[in-house]
Amino acid sequence: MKKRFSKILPLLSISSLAAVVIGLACAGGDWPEYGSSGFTPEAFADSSYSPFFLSDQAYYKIGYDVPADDRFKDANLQEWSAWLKGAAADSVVSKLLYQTSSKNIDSVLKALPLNAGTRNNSRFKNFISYLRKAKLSERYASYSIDNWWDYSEKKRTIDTQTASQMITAWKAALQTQKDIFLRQRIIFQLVRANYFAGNYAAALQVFEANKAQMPSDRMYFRSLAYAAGALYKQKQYAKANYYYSLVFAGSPEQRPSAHFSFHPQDEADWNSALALCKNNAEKATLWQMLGISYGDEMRSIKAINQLEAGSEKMDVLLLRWINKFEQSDDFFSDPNSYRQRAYDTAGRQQIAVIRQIADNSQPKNAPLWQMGAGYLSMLTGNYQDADHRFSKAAKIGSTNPLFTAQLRLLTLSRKLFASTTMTKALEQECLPDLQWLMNIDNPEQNEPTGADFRYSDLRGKIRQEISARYRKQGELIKAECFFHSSDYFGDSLRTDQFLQFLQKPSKTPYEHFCVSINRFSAEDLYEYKAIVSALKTNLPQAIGFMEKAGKAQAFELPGNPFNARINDCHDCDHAAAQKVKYSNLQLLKKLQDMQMAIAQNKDVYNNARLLGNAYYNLTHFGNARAFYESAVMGEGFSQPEYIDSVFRPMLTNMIPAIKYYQIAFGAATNNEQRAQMQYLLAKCQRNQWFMAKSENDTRDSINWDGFKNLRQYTDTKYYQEVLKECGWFRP
Amino acid sequence: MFLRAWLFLLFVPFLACQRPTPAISFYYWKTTYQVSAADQQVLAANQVLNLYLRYFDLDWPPGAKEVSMLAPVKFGQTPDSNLHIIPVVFIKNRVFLQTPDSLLVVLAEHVAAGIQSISETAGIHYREIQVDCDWTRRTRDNYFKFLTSLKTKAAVPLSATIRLHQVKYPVQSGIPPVSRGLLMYYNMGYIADVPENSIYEEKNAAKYAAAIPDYPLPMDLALPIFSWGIQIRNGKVLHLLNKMNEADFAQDSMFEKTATNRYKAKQAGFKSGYYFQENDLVKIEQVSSSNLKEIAAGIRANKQYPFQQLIFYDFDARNYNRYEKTIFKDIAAALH
Repeated sequence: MKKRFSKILPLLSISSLAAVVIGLACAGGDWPEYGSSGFTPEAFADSSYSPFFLSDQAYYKIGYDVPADDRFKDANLQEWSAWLKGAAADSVVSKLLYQTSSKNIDSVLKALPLNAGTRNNSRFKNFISYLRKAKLSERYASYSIDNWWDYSEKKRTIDTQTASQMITAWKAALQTQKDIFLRQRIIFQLVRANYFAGNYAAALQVFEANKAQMPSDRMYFRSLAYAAGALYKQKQYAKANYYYSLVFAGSPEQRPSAHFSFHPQDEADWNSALALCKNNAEKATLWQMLGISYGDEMRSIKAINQLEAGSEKMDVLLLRWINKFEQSDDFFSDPNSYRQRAYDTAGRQQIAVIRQIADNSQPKNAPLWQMGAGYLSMLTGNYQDADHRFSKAAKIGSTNPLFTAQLRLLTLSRKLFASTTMTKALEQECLPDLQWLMNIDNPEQNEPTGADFRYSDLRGKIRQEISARYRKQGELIKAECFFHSSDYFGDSLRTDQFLQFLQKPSKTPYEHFCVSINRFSAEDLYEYKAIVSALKTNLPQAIGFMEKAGKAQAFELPGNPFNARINDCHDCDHAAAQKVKYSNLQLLKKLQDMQMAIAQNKDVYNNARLLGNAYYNLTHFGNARAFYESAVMGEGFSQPEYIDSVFRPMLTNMIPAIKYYQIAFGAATNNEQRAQMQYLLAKCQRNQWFMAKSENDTRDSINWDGFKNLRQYTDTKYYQEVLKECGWFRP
Repeated sequence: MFLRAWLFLLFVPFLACQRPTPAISFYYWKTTYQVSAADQQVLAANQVLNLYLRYFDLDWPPGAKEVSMLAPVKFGQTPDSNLHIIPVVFIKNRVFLQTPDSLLVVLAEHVAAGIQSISETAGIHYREIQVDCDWTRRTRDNYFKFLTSLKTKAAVPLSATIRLHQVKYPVQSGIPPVSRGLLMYYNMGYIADVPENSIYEEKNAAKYAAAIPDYPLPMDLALPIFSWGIQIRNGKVLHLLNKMNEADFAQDSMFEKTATNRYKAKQAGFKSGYYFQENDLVKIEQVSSSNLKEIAAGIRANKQYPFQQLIFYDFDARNYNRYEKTIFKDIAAALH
């Protein structure tokens, strides 16, 4: 699952295409930016369109945009290196390009270890001559906002004076320069200088005058982007949008900014933009941008298919449509949803359009269209069609490893969803793929799929579905392995059967697999059984189970489990100094000793009192919740309501504590002792009252029996202590 | 001396009986300050002295490293020196959910510095600052601490917007530590596909009107003159259609009217920079003259102490052109 990135807002108006440094800030939530999904766009599409995959962020994976300063850095260096033909080392070129300013070129040059051959090389000299002017141009063209609070920085006055000077300089350079490589760059610089000087008409004119002779390389598209900006500034929106669409189609690096700038106002300018297109391919780009920008993918798909049947321009739109369908459809959210689901007419019609195109329009990206249509069929219960299409896609094949993983995932899914029972045959057939799917997270897996592969939502769905089937078939153990159900271990027979299964000496491969995907170990279950027995005060049994519970035996309780307080304060008990710490097993053994002592009539009051305290502390109300917090029962329940209903009665049961406090009361020899026992009984009664209380009962306390009895001991010191703590008890 | 004191005492009750008509002011909420000739006429006709100018917003979106200053106002012209400009800073509540206590003073410093910097650029001498923040119980303490710091840093009196729920529940909401409050008498409901008008609905207003007289801060009154559309798709609100109104849709053949204030897109297309898919719905919300008069009557009935100032939100030809020219004076008079 991908963590989301987000960036400090916001971008300045992109029509200036100024270089703006955007701060990077990591991670909002843990959920993916694409929501729930079983269909990985990276398995099918040209990755240069990935910013436009469906995302709840501005652009998929990149947040608002990549920092503009970085956009052409690598490509630019490569282009210069290639043109310089080894006249200077790459490191030298890079240093000159990116680590000098207009003020220090000469000192840098002097300091560099360049030989005469380099220094006299004519291309190198031309490079330096160009560099000097380019560095001056950075004054108006390259701009970073470091301090967002600085109004003057944000307001940004463009250095139009330098821009105007550079217009003259670049114009002169263009007159004399014959080399195409350099001319491309000079034309770009001239267009840009005019733009930043505010001469929008001139910027456009320079581009228009030169474009026919310019090869369609990066510098051409960068010039085109400024021409689009110049049109925009002159409010020629239709043509600006048209030019942005040309940038969008031809320049992957500038795709997000072209998309950001594309902004038709009314039907009139939209139609004008379409009318400016020279051919259907250009119109298709405009439709592609509309579909992405305004979420009307299906309208655009239909329009594009009319213009260029099977066009690849539809691909990113199809992917978005499918990923959207995954969110709106309740396939992932409703465990019972996928069978015979009634999906609306509009959805059905649109799926039909997709099928039509897949079958009749010879889409360039046939694997995507077949898999996509097949996936939609699978989501809507049409398994035969899904099967047919997945096979077709498999036959066409693809070199993309993610495609192979996607195909495997969907083939498995379809097979499982299409069947109604888990037969032995189906188990065998699916086992290798199920093992692969459940182990995908394992980095030692044979064929790593990488972070982009979307499998967890479908995997979860498969687990739920198979579990439900096993339940229906009465195979409860397998049902539990595939999808844990909190009430499973509420029944002791089922628990023992599960334990038996885990410990079965000769398992079939499928059974091994079931054990491997289940949550609990034998030790987890023994620990659970020990807890259940302990809370029922059956200590010999509890000890027997705890001794098989692995690490749980030695787990040290955070507080003194034999301590009782007037007010319950677990943190106080945990923080208090303890001469003796008890592990789970030591506690159980001590409890057993105390129970035996009482049976032998030895020091009954103290033993019973301490047993009462311990049984109180082992419940949710006591300081030894850690005793019952375990793999099976869960942990961290701040209120009884959060404890699963299967375990709640057990974990809030006051009967054992009450029993021993009453024994202690009976064996008390003075009023101090009697007072204390009555008060502690009142606490137990209070807890029982809390658990039974209706929501409408707004009382905090009533006159429990313990309180009634406590009033017979008003002359004791203990009574005074109670009053000090609980003023509201005062009659 | 004694006689004069008596005479003075005679005059005072007489003066107190004369309630002044509230002065008329406006909020200026556009990102570029530019006052046209028509705008100038409206300001002059209503003797507007104070203009509440939004300087910038503060927000801290989830996942961001820190708070950001957004959309600072640009000046297409220098404001007329006869106009008193009061800088307004709009702060989203979540800024105070995320700013730790220890940084509130620094935040106030930044805000004060930002205001100072913008004012210097535009030649504005401000004598008051207003803060607009819809604070909640959770952010109350931090917001109030921020205001206290801001007052010290900026060294001018502060006013703060007070929304209706804060007037009605002053104990929970607290009273902000400012000199004056600004009662925002609008945005009473939810922006949703429901029949009620989220800007103003009489039955919602009635719930709050009675609490106004008892509010312990001296207050001015802000009333709405804006309108917007709500674009709805499959029952969900997509976004607001800023400043659009009935007239924009009634004449457009792309839309058909389905009910009062309700339109449906007959086909997909662009309009005013927004894109409508086929069957998208539009709900228009606006406040009419009679609504405004109704508001004034409702307030007058409940409130005895005079509002000194009536501030209309927001100053834009798109807004004021929908009303008769005298509307602002009429409402001020109705509150008298």
